[in-house]
Amino acid sequence: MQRRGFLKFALGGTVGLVASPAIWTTLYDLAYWTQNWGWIPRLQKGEDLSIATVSKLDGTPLKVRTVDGRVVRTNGNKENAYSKGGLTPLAASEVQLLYSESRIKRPLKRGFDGGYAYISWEEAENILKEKTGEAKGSMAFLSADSSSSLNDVYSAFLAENGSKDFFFMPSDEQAATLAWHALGGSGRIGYDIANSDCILAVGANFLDSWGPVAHNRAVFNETHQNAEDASQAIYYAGAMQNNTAVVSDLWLPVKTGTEEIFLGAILAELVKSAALADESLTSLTGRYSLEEANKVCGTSMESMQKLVSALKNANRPLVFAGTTEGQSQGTGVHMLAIAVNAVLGRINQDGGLVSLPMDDPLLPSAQSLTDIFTRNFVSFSMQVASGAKEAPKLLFINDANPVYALSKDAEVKECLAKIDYKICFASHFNETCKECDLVLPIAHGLERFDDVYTPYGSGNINWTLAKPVAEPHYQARPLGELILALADELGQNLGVSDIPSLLEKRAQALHVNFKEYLESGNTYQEAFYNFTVPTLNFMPLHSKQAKAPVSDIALYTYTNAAAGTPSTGIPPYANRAITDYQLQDGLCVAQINKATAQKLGLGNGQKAMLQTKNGAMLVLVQIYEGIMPDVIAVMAGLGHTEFDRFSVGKGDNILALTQIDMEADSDLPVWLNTVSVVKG
Amino acid sequence: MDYSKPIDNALFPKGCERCSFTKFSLFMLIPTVLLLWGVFAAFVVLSQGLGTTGLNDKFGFGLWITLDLAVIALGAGAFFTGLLRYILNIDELKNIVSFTAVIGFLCYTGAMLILVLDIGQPIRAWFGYWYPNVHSMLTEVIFCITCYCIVLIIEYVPLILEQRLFEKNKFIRHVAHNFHVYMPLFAGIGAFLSTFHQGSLGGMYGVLFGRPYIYRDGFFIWPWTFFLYLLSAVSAGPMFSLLMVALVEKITGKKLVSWKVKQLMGKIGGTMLIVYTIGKFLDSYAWVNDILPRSGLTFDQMFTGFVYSSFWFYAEHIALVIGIVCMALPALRKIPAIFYFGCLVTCFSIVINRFVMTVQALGIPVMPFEQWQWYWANWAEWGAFALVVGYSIITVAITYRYCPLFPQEAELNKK
Amino acid sequence: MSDFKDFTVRYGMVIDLDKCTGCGACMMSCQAENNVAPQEDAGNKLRALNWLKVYRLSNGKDFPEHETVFLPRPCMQCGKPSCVSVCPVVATDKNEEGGIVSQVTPRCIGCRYCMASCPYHARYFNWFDPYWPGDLKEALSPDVSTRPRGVVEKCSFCHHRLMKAKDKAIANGEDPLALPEEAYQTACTEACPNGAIVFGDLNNPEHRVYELKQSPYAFRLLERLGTEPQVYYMSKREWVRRLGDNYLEHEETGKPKDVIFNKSH
Repeated sequence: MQRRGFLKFALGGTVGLVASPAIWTTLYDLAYWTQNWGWIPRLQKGEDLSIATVSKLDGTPLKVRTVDGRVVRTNGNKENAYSKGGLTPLAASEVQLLYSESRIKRPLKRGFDGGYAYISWEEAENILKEKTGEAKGSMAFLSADSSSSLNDVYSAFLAENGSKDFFFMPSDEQAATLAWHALGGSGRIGYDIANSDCILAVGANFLDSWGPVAHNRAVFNETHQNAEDASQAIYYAGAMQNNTAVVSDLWLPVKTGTEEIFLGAILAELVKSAALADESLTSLTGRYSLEEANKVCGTSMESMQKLVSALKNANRPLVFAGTTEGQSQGTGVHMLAIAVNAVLGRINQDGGLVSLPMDDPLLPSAQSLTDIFTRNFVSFSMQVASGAKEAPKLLFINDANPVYALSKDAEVKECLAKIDYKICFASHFNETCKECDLVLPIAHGLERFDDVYTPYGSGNINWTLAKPVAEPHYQARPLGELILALADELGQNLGVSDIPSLLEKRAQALHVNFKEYLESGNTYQEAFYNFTVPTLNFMPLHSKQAKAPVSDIALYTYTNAAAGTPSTGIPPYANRAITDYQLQDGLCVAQINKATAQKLGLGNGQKAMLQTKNGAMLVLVQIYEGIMPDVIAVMAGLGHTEFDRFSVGKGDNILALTQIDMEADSDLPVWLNTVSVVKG
Repeated sequence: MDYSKPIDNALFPKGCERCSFTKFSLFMLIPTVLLLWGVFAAFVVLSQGLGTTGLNDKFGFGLWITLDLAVIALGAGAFFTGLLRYILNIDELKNIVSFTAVIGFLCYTGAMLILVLDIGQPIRAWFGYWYPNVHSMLTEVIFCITCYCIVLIIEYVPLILEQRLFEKNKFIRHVAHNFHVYMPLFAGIGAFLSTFHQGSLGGMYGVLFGRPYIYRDGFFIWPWTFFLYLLSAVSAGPMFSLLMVALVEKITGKKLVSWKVKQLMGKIGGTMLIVYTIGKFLDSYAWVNDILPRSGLTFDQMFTGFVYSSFWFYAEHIALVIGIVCMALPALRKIPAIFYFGCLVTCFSIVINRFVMTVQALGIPVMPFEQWQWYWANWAEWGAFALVVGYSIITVAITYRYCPLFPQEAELNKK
Repeated sequence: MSDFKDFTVRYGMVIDLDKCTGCGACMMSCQAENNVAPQEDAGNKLRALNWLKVYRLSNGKDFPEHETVFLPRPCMQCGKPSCVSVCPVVATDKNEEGGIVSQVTPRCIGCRYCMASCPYHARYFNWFDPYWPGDLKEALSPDVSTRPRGVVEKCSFCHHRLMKAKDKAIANGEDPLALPEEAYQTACTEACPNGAIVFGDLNNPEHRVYELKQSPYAFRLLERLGTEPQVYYMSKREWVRRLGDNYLEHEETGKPKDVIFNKSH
């Protein structure tokens, strides 16, 4: 080729290329291509719906968005007057739980080798029928959620099969109800937080995880307008500046396990200035004093006096006690809280401690909450494990995870080992499923008919309906329907044909329109009306033994509502919400203040070993001055060994390590603060 | 055929001797290993994402950007020597100008290589031209650096064309000659582009008003920072080239550039260093006494631990003074050891400057409730650095072996 | 360089820190709303991608004088954004009524210059490809595109909600530049059960933020940098307001001597 020819060709080619769309189209295509990689999910559109229901995790009323039948988001329900549209972190992550990898896909049966094999529902149903038939008269049922009307189906089913051993997981509700009844109260114990102008919460993290949280926080929102003076004062007593303490008017540091002495001192102080005739109360004053409380609880005279005068001067003060979710401090602390309310004249008053009716069960053979609360699972478990009580032949576990949530002292594993056959109903494969013979996938809260009926901590009778927003994922089935079908197979009539009819019975009992509430997702609220002051007898308080002295360093376990429950594991998105003062480098973080650190010879970022008689765990120490001296705070909810990648391999389970003891008169478990800390 | 000579003897520059091909090949193993490490690191980074590096959301910039900025400053010997040689006609520099061009070429292509790894979407790298944001200092840098890179390639080409292989090819010889004729033009373009991007690189940091360690405003961003960065480059660039000459001389055991030429380069670099140092001290003074207090911050708040201690701040400044003493005092400059030491401390100061401006600046808590954060480069980031080092050694070695890189070599090594 | 960009409509927040319990509901709903991929290793806080992050603030005193406050930090949607002018490819801009700083992830080349420039650390990088294990993909909303690795992303004030609200207003023959407060709310604002976040048009006297931002308790983060954030905070506590900016010991809170950005540009 000639030089000239080559130049012509090159020049012509260049001009041609630039003029043609080839280069530019390729460049654009390249740009598009960089955002269209096959492994990056494409968005799917479709029919966009907003369906009202309620979260079965913490009772938050919801509007669930579905797109083309897929569940996309949980939103708060703005039309709901009870929650006013607020969304708790747990309810916000429900969709991700619904689609979680930890969902059980099909029924699982344990083989001889200890491994699980998928079986068909037909086979599972046959096993259910066979085992129930065999175990007639010797079975037990453990449930995690006391606010569901479906418990009536379960307890009725149990009764039809000759057993009364229906349990809930341990809770403040049980302890407070027993305390209330022991003092002569009747029905449910309620706290009218919405109408109080001065709240003292002892240990109860009521703005994060205690009681009907969405409602409590809606009240907080209303009483605390931006940049204005609050219309409700909040006093929080607890070992750490937790979520409730940070927005309180005053944080009273109280060492874990000394809440009784703290409340006793307040009681004594209030009794002094109140003109009371009740001998059972006035005679208690000698047992408690501010001085003693300051010494034992770590409070200061100044803050105690401030608190006492605030309670005295408030128009509608309210006092209640609580513990970390899923634990309990026995009845003593609740009795004292009731006594303080009584001295303040706040029982059955607007914005006070209220007694709500305990309704009859919806089904004839079902048990009432009053009956159920007389039994507690921890002592059942310990007795079965030790042989003091004959093991039932069959145990049903519904959505509870006692193997993870309860202390090793409760001997759950040992108890389960003694029971012939264990059937676990669960949505997620949890630590307890691992110990059971048959694991059945149960519809998630957003996939079933259910309800939230007057959850503990409510100040009135209230009711929100849950309905399925989508078909159950995988092969999950709603438990209520499953139990009804099983009863039917066994020729038993529980008194209701399906779950919507059961819920309709509740509607009838409350005299409300079922369909209307099902559609709107509104919360029915019964106005509080019972202003008659019951006659209470505080003599049972006199027989209370002072709790064992606390150890040098007290353990404080706290929960983070975002981080899930023992039944859900850690929701996928919660991994971002768990902070580096809760979990770091795969280790639980133990927070202590400078003074404690000095005492223990520990520094920020150092490793330490927490020991109880149940074992030891390695933690990372972090200095935080929002915690009182001689207390070490560790977050519960970590250290899962089951569920999914978002739950496993993150820290250790402090719940298993915690020691428990039984309260003498009530036989309720009391979580101890005992721990020893050594350099790790 | 002379069998006593290396097998590739025919390709050597005229009058120059080279080691045996076996020895050369064995030597090349070292950079090859570095290169392979880097290629593997690059593969991991490109295939899996930047999560494989030690970078994080607090330290979006790390070792790579530090190195990029450092080598671009150190590679400034190319444009500055070109400017002096071709535009200002300092004839002696012809003996080193090719080598500085090669060093510049390697520094710039190396920087671009790392940049390709450093951006999250390398396939979109051309967006910088396609959707340029004219307000962004980075756009200016992208344009200038890539354009200047082309100039460096043009400056590199004649070296290759002068290879003995092409001796008999009239056309190529003709082209090579033309390149020389037009070189002042390219040197001019190069100087223009370099001036801008060296200045802009400083501006890139200076405009980050959310980073109190590097932020400059008013007079201290324009023209001060602009010229400060330019001056830092023109003082460190020639000195880095000198150090590289010394390194090549050490490895080959030959004299490649005459002491006189080196002294001249050193003297020019030293002069620039004086100007830079004055500017830098004034800049630091203004930063400590004006910008920091206006930001509500104190000098002490800018430092912590060892990696982020004020040691580096002081070291950077003291090194400059030492550099001046070594390079600007003729009596001291004449002593080779002090001469090279002066070059070294100057380069050290510039590299430290780029490190603190990049990494330390990002580690400092800006919101008062934040904590200091630490960053450590991981194997993949060092691997990419090794890639550049390996690639550079290979390029210099091959160029040196086969091209007339040092015009004085034949004469200086006459037996 | 950046100028203050004013608009008829400037969306912003007033976050009442005295009402925040730090529960994380805002963080959770933000992730769900904006199709953020869940992160298994989110324990590494330097790599945890949060459009909205809750910080824990301390008054720095020892027990028992110690106080804690939680501070949720979305993108400040600055009036003079430090990130916009630095982006070499115009992948981020502030050019639309509403004053939201956009982030065009398909345009972003991932140079991270904007991250280096943002003093609020509101920008996050996709260090790896996003991954939704199992069936988590099912929960993706149709509103917000998923992002590949190698690009920067940040809070958009749920911009898709603004688009929807505007469309609706136009369809109804209403003025899209005068949306009522409740027509457009971000996911975090809606979620917060405490009502700690108030969202609306800072220029519209009918929106609550208009008044609230003028409260003596209101402040903005790093105000003296001159970024003019559209997110305000509010606290009755002096120490909290003081933590909003860098102050020399003798300086009084809320009255920084200089706004350094103004001097230069």
